[in-house]
Amino acid sequence: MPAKKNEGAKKMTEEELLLLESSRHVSMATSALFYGNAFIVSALPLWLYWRIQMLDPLTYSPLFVIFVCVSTYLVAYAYRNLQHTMKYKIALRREGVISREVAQELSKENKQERDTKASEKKNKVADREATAFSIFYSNTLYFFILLVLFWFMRTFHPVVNFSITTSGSAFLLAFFSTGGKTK
Amino acid sequence: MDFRHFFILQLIVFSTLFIGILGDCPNPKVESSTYTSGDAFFSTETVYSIELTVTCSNNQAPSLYAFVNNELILVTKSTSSNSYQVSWSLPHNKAVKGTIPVGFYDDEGASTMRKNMRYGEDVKVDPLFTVDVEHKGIKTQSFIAPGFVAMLLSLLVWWLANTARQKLME
Repeated sequence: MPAKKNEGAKKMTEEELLLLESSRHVSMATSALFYGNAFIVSALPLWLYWRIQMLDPLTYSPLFVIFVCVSTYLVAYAYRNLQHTMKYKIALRREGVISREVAQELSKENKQERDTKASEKKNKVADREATAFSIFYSNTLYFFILLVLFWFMRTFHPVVNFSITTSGSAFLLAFFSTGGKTK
Repeated sequence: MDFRHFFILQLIVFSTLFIGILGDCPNPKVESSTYTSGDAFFSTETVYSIELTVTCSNNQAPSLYAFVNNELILVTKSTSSNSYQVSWSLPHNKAVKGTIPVGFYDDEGASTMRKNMRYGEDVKVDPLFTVDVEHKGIKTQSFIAPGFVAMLLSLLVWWLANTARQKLME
């Protein structure tokens, strides 16, 4: 009986891993990383409007807070989408190497054990890599769109410039992040 | 002292007086062209330059000194003609904007000026002639707007990221 129970637990783990691989679920730590990064990226342009466009941070603080919050949410949303899109592809790429490595490490274990471990490791590696790359890629795209919008809106009033540039670039980033093929 | 020595001494005294009254360059006719640099992006200092052609009524081409920034600068003279050139530079923040009168002195005027400066005397010495230099100020902006450069750089970084992404997604 205990052996059967153990087998059931392993099966569950494998299923869970497979579900985890294809689901949009992100861990608490990854989510914090996404929101933290999105906040930094969204708050950075404030310097441009404060020091160059001369928008007083105290006077315009409500506007700044609203747009930074909206932008943070949209950028984090883009990170999540892109991470999900890339995770599967990265997992496929790393599968062979990870399986070989795990097979060498756990040569004494049975095949099922090895597969579970390999799947677990693959999921972990793909998750980490996709998270890092999605943050990097989204940041570059976000700043590019932001600077293009900033350039075209340079003759407008700084408040209009800030509102459209910040929200527009975050919205476009979120929009582009939904376009990728998962599989 | 015999007559001959007396005559030579008199000649020296009179000729010195004569030169002193008329100067090295009596009735100078001056043709000048001036230049000042107006860019602050590629250069660290503002440059002023004056080119002169001085014609004296005695057909001489004396040495000239320009009084610039409270000091006397020796003006470069052409060996073949009566053309002169003087230039100086100042840090951008000290470069005076507008019309700058530059006084030119001959040897005698310059030595009087030097003496005045040395002893701190405020005796005005009239220059031989004055040339006005017109400096319109400096332009600190670059030819390409920094915003545009930032946009191009961000495009380059995004392009690199996108190339890496496409490779990963193959």
